[in-house]
Amino acid sequence: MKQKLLVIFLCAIGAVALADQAAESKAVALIRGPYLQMGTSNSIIVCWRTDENSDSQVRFGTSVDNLVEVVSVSTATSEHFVEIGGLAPATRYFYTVGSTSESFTSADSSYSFVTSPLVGSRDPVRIWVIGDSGTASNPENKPPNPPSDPGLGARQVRDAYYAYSASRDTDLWLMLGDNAYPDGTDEEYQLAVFDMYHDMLAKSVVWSTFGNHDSYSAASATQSGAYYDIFALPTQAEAGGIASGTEAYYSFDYANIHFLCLDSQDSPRDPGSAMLNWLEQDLAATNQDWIIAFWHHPPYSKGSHDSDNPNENDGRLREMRENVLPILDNYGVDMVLCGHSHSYERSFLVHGHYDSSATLTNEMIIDGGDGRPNGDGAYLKSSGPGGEQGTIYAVNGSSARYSDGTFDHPVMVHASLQVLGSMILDVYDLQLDARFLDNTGVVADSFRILKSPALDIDSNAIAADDFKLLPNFPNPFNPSTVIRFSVPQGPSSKLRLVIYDVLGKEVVTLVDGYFSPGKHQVNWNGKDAGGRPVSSGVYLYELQIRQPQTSVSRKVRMMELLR
Amino acid sequence: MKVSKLAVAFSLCMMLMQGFANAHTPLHEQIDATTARIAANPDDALLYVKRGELYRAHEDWQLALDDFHRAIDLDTSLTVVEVYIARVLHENESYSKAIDILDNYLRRYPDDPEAFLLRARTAMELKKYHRAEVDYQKAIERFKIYEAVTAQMYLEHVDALLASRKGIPAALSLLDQGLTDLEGLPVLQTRAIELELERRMPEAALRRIEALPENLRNSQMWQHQRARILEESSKITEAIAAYRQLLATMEHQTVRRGPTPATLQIREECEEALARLTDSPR
Repeated sequence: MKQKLLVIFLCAIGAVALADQAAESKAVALIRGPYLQMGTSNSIIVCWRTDENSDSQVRFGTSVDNLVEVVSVSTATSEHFVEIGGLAPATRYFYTVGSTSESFTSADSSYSFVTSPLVGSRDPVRIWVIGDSGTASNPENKPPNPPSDPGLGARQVRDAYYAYSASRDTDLWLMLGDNAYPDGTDEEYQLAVFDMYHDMLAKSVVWSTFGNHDSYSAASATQSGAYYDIFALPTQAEAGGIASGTEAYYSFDYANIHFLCLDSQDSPRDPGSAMLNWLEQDLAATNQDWIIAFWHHPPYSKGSHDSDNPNENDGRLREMRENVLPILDNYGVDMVLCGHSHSYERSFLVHGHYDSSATLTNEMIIDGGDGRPNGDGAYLKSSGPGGEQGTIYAVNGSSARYSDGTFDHPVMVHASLQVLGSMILDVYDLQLDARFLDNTGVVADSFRILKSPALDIDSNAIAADDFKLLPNFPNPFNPSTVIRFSVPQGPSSKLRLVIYDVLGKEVVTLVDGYFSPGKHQVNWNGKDAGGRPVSSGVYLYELQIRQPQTSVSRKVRMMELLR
Repeated sequence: MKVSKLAVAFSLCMMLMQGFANAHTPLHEQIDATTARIAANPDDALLYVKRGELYRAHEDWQLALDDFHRAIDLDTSLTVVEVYIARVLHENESYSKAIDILDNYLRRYPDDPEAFLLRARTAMELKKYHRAEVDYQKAIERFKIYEAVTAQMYLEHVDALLASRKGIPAALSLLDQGLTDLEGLPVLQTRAIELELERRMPEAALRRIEALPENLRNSQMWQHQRARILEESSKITEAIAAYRQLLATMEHQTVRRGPTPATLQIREECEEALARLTDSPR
């Protein structure tokens, strides 16, 4: 744990750790934050900066009018890092920061956070992702920011997201590096991060990766400099995963998602290096439904950086592709988020592509569709042997400025040219919806990844409480969809599953026979009883069940076929 | 964060780097811009350092070296630029010259951990393993003072120790020291397990597996490794039980991730092992 971290765990509700040394009466001013770090289901770190040294105090509680709990740290400092422990999962807390003699913030909803849900829970999660967002501190930056307003683009992207997500908490957000231009100094961080994202920093935990511009004022080898002084990131698996021993690369869990942060800038990337060894151990140890990795240098890009140039950025793009991607593929990582190129580029569902773009083959493209439910259909994983194969790669480095490029990497299904924006990930259970929201509030790209819940456990190993017909997936679909149902405990039941068109005409009978208690599934390939493809449209599917000495029960659902 | 002399030393480097590359502007444009600034301020040593770093990034080695030397000529207090010169030489694979620069620098600044680390890596390239091993030792000792030692340094030091024929016991001893320093970091423990197996000490390796964090120890990767170690140490009954247990776990896992190439391979190897072991006479 960092020495900067002043830790007091709150062991009992209402406990008060009073400072031994009362703060001096001199007025102390808040000049940075507060901001939130390393949130878990039972703890969080509240950080802020004052213009003079003072002791530290956080008051908090689940009611804005009653901040009954207090953590105080007596050490005088201007850099305040206070860890609060003993929190309840998925619970909103309101807080103020200050010293033992005064409060720097007011008790209102601006200063509140929601703790992480329990690890493994399937609660809905919203994630905001920004990359290369740090132009506000660099008047020399490029389009579309005029020298007089270098933060214009970042502000537009920020405000578009704030408007989009006004009615929904942001559970966590990711910064993909180059958070403050041009050199990642503390002063630049103030302008480009703390002033720019003040409101979000106060209520949602941000997790960052290290960019090349951050490296001009910090070093991973020593974990020193502005970036490492500002962020409090896990080194000992404080938020899940396996301990990396360094803030340069780390992992954490949130709900049913495992996040992996790598350092593509400043840590050795060779096979056998500490980072890659850690990566494999960390991936082997996670049982989370989703794995999302993020780092700065993209393995595939034809934006302002060309991943086909083997020497681009001292070979960092190539090395991440050649050395890291095989490990990620081996463990079925679902998404990779990068920045660096000032553009938005997003891939097909791909697997096994480690060389230049010229070597991409059809076999490496697991799903060559656009991943849109109303387009080519969602990407589906876990549907059979090797089912976790396939990863979506996104370059999301235009959260403040854009640059030119050829944007013709064949692995990419979508590229937004000269468009500012950020990504939004909504994960709910086994469904992940991703959007690229531009600076005008338009969703310029979207896709969905679905995972088959039928693979959750052995289908006959769990008892079904009652007779259920579950929603088919994907839906809408093309060319096929999966229909799941469960049979209650007791003797085997006679089941009949029939597809009807909207006029009530029978299309095909998929199931007609006896089934044992438990969960089952069946595929429909969009064909009628004669094996002929049916047309686009809405279809009904009805499951009838007849158990001994009972009447027939029926359940009906609707689905849509898109040709 | 560590408020330390290292941070102070690092801030000097950062001071030198202030205003350095906007890496998203083509390097030649940045070089041209810096050249223009040098033309206006020909005695500003830091500008030469900045341009030298740009040339280094562009792999214009000689131009980088020229600028660094010019910077030192203009301001003799910029001794840390000697390490920059050594880094250019290292990247240019001029390892002997880099060593000479670093020797000279470290005679005057024997507490600089980063210079020791660079010299250790350079010595490795020159296959001067004993020298590298000594320098890694010194680098780690100095980084420890600043609480900045990392697993990477220990792993590289282990490679140097093995290359210098000091043997696996010395490497294991070093890893154990690292495990103490870095709070039982799993990547050091797993490297130690590899070495224990290489040394044919399965019991020691099994003990180290037990020392892994619970989520890693119970992973399919390490359950499989444990079964393999039992098999290789001829504990056939225990190995069969371990393989069966692993397969049963995989069959009834409560996680909802589908099979991955890694888990499919483990399953296949377990089934092969069971077929092999249950067919063979015991």
